[in-house]
Amino acid sequence: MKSLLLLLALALTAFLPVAAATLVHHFDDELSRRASATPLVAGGKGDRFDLVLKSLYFTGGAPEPITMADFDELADTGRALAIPLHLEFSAGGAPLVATTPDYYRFRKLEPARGTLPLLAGDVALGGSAARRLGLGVGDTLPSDQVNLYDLSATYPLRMRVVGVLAEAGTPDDEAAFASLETAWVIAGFGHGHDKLGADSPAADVLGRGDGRVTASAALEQFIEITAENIGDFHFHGDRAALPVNALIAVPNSPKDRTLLKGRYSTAPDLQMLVPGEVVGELLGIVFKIKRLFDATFGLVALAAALFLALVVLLSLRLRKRERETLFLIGCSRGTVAWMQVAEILILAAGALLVAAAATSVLLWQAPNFTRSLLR
Amino acid sequence: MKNKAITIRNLDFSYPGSPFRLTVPELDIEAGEKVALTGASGCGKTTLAHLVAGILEPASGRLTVAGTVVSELGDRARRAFRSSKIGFVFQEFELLEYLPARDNLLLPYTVNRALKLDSAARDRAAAIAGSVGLADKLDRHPSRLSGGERQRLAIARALVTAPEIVVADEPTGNLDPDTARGVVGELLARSAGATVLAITHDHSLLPQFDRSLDISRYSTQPSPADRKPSPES
Repeated sequence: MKSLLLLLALALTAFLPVAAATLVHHFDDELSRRASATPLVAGGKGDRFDLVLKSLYFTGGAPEPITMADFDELADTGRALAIPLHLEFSAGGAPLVATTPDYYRFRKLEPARGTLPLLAGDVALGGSAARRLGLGVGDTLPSDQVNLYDLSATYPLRMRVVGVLAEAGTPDDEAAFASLETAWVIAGFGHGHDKLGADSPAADVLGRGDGRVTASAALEQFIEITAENIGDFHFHGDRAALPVNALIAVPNSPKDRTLLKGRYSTAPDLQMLVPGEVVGELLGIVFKIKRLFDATFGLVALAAALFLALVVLLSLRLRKRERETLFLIGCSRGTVAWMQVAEILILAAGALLVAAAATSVLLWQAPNFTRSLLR
Repeated sequence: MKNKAITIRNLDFSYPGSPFRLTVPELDIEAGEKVALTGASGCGKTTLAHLVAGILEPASGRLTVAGTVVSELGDRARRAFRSSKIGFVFQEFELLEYLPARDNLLLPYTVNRALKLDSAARDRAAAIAGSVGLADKLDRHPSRLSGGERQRLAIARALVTAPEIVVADEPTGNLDPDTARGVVGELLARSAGATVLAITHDHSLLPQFDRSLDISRYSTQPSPADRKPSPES
């Protein structure tokens, strides 16, 4: 038991710095790969880390909303492919990324089964999300309730799973994808219900006048968009005012990239960021912390080595009579010493084996772990 | 005339840097004789026992034990001699707590290449374990044996290689008089054919031996070996 405790303590001492290095490496890799694959991200002015992390890695929550007018403005420059992202909602615990088909082309996302979500009410699941939720094509997935205690909030929308995306080893695997219209319906900017007319029940009508019928809160709204009722869905207000949370900009050329950055550097309410630079800045902080950890681990390793030396010395003292007994019954002093060295070596080898096994598990799980850190 | 198990002629020994000196002009111990080594602390009892066992090397003189001139052997040969000819019983038995009784019993074979652990050795170990009443307790660790069983296991370990000489270094040092008598009785009974050298301070035990030797007369100063319970040589 004492040897086991010592072995575990040694294994932990050996494992911790390896674990930290492995996780930081994977964290760096995970962040950098995605960031370098995304040329520019635009969003509301505010925390640049927040905008990049939430729009690239879906780390939970959504950046401050901008509007479709901002998307139109970017698209109208003709200098970049503009891809809007609406990130307010989730479904089954997976971030619900509402976007346009350009996103799938840009990220090279292909359906492994089914199709991409082209219609309002459709949802396609990332490979990991589908596996976690146990859903496939033909199943339904309700959007997550935003506020359980807000009685005026819209109901969750029951979405049809029309596809499961092939796993890409990116945060997209953990997400659910839908059209912008789907997100706006969940947000309450659009809805569907039976047509109101002269023959509508009085309870469903709040008022009539000027040829318009105003529905009351009693009018039942559809909670699912189907082929039968999709025609009854409609949006109130100006499309340009509808919200999105970020825009991915894929410039046509380096020159366009520079011009866009310059253009948005003076924008009062918007910022245009290079994700690689922001992530590099973030990783700089991470590596500074890692260096601090490395120094700490060095001290911990030194302390562990000193403790081990103390334990060995105490053990040698406690077992002096045992050594003497072995010598007296015919064991050479060299063999006695070698037996004790062998014990320490076996202990150290056992600790290294345990540390190696733990590292193997960590290497296997590191991508999932770093992704879970980002969520 | 009986065979001599131990013959000492003009033996001289001293520890480096110590005024202690053990000088034994002539001493004969017959095969199978049970001898108690007595004398004041530091007089050289353990030193003499260790010389006989080949642990210490005399400065001069001739020491013959079980037909081997130990005083002429080198280190390796003395260790091989000790493994095959000498059995040790220690004051606190010195059983290895992390090994079961069986492995404690066979320890001399395990730690010494000069001894071969063959089926004959195993049979002998089983017979000795049976004779001391431990046949059904060989899988137990020493911590799960009673004091008497531990004592018998220690004696069995000393006898498992069928040694010609059994050296018992104060095997009753920490025991009450009744138990001490029991341990000595057990030791002498189990080592029936062997010559026994038992170091003791307890004069009430001397009647159980064939004779006692007061070592004080051979030494000039207190021996460091006799002042330390476990001398390193």
